[in-house]
Amino acid sequence: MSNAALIFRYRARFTKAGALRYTGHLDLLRTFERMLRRARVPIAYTEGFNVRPRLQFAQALPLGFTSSGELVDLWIERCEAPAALLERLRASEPPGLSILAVWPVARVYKESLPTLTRSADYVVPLPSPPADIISRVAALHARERIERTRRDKGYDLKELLEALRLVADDEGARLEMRLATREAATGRPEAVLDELGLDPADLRIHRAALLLEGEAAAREEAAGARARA
Amino acid sequence: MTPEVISQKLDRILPRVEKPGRYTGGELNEVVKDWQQVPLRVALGFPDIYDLGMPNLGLAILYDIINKQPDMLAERVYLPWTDMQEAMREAELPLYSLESKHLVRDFDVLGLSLPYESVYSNTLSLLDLAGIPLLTAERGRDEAVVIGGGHATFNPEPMADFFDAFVIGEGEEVIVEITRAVAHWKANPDAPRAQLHRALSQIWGVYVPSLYEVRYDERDLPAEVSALADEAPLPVQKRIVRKLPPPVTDFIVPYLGVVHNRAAIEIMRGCTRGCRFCHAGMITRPVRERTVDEIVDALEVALDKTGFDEAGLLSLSSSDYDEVLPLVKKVAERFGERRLNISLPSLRIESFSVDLMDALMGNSRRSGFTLAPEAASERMREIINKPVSTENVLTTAREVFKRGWHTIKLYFMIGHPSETLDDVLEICNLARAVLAEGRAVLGRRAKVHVGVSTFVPKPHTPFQWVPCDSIEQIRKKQQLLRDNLLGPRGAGKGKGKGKGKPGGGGGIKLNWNNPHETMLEAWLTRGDRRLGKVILEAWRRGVRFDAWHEHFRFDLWLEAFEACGLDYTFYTHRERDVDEPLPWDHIDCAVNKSFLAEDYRWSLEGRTRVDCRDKCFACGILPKFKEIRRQTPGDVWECPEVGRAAVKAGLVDAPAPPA
Repeated sequence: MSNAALIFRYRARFTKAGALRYTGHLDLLRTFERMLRRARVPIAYTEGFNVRPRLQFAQALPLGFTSSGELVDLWIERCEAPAALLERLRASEPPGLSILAVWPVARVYKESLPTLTRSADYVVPLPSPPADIISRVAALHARERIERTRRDKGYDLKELLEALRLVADDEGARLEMRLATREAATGRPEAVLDELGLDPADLRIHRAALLLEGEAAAREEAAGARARA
Repeated sequence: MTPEVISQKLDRILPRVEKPGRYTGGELNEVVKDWQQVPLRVALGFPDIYDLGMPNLGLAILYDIINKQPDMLAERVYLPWTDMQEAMREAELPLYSLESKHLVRDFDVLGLSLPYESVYSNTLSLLDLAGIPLLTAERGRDEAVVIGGGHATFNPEPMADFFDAFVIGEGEEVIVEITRAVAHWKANPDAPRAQLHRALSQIWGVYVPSLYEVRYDERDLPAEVSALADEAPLPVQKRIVRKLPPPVTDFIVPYLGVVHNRAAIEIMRGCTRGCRFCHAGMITRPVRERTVDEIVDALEVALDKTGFDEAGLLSLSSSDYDEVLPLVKKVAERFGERRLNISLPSLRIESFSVDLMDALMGNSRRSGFTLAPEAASERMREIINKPVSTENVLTTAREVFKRGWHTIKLYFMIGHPSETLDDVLEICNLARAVLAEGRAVLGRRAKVHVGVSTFVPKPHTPFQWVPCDSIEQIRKKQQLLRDNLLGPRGAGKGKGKGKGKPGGGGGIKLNWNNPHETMLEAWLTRGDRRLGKVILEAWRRGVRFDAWHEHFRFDLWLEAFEACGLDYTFYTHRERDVDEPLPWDHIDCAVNKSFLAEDYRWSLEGRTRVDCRDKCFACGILPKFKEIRRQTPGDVWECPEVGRAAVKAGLVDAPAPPA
């Protein structure tokens, strides 16, 4: 029998790469559950008829994207030192999944991870950038509105595009962008690429970070520091 | 084509196909060896999609065994779904292995599992996509050696044209012997493929179809099978392992959901019950059991290595496993805390089975409890040698409902020998009687799901001579079931299942098979070598994914039969004479044909046999494998020990074992 008083919430940051990038949201849930089982970490389960492990991702990663900044909340039926929990999870990771950090979420914080999520950073390497890519990016910056339609609804991509820059250094050329990921206001990097005249099918999109609402982010940084200490 | 090129092509293709996770590999516990460092490379394939092939235990066993050999590697290959096949053709990407992304045709051996007949046309699709010539006769020296195994290969004849060799029986030991023979052959660059064929034929349990010729008589029967090489054995005896090797624990864990997401451990192989319709029960003899400790320890390792929340304790008849109660108790004790869903299939119809499931499930949610009487009347159950009284079915059902299950799944077959419409009606009566038991305990919450498949007579069984029902007979019986169980509302549905409201109260669901799909199974399972050209012709005409309702094309199969000048009813509906030559007579499953014939006669007389653990009926296993039995003393085998007593009782004196 589950007892709310004995359930502890942890937040983890993880990467998704390799074959795992073709794993959808539900399959990722199952992948996490199995990792926790292998680690013998007692995950809590939802109550009711359809019992599921208590896990919540910040935001689903589109099929085919890789990421080094995914976030998940886990509810566990035991209080664990974050460092020990991290170690056990790391020993049980499947290929393509790597847990970067784990920290506790104090019981006073009730907000769910998806509602805290504000924006996402994406990196898109450009192995063979078009000659006029600089002017294309500049043109996009110059536009006041970027009208698009998705599922028969019009929206302004400009409002969702919080930052966009072209970087070229030793690692090659790439686009870095920050897009809003608020509820009902989620920017899609493919849309940005499309506006730049680039075919998303030719490119690999990587999510570098998910950014939480300011206060939560600061609080977590502190908790993360404590956990590491 | 290098792995790098293949990966680049995949990067472009995968985002556009359904469930790309089927085609990536890279799952937990896959084994990737260094291609350059390993001289012997085996691709293990299942001729249907990843979702069905991944949980195949036979392939998991072979994968484990081959990869444990330092000089061999095994990688997986499945048949891509139609969208991926199309995308691959467009991208000029032939079939590749999931582990290292090498082309299937670059492997030394392609081993394919043929568990049932509806994957035959898929097998051609797989070879074609791999770029391997479909016909063995057209394969050059450098082409992969194509080996088939699995239950369907006990009648290998319909697929004889497409395989270099078949494994008849158990693969654990023979797979390594085959691979070594291929290595030996490859070492000599001048040796033609025929030389390999002769070498393979010398391995116990290997059948090389190209070394045999079939002569048909004026009745179109395979009157004579002759060996084209002196050394080719006749008959070809099936392979068995003395003792079951340690179970697989390092199962590959798919990222996506497949049909069975579980750690599967075989607790016992073979069955002593002797149900006369049952192919597996005849061809997997003798019964060999694993110990409780071996099973439970292996399960623990498997769960820790995979994280699966489901486990399957597999056998053909769990109730017959000697230590079934200690096993269940130990499993419950050791894994009770882990919220597992453990299945123990094929339980006998008796209240003890309810005790077993009760102990196994503990507090977990109880959905459906399966009972398989297979036939609804006591008379019919005697004919098929699954004798259980109707009273016993009802008592067991009552117990099931009392212990917290709300649904009973009842499995029946129509089309048993001598079945009449009255026997079919008995299915309805029994289903309603079971529902009545449920209602007495649970009221309206009680449900009964009735699954009625159509009996297909199988080779190497006592019913191998029996005609299969015609399409008209099947339709008539299914209509009777629908009218009677579903009433006028449900009966209108013709697609394979329906919900009914018997007595205005609901509670019964009915499932049945498409009779056309039954016909496909029926002609292939007892087919002869001439069906090879029908299969090829049907495939050329566009037959694909026969096991999938939406793809099955009965019309194309009929066209293929016509084009080849053959009549399918010759294979399906003809009553065979007990003396007539059968296409699989040269394949020795170690159960004597004379025993099968006697058992067939007994069935016509309504005589039954008890569990052969209690009394040996001299089916042929012991005389044929008496040396192996001697080397395996004790109760690992369920056949009697071979000693003076057995000889005295006439058990091992029967036909002489092959040299």
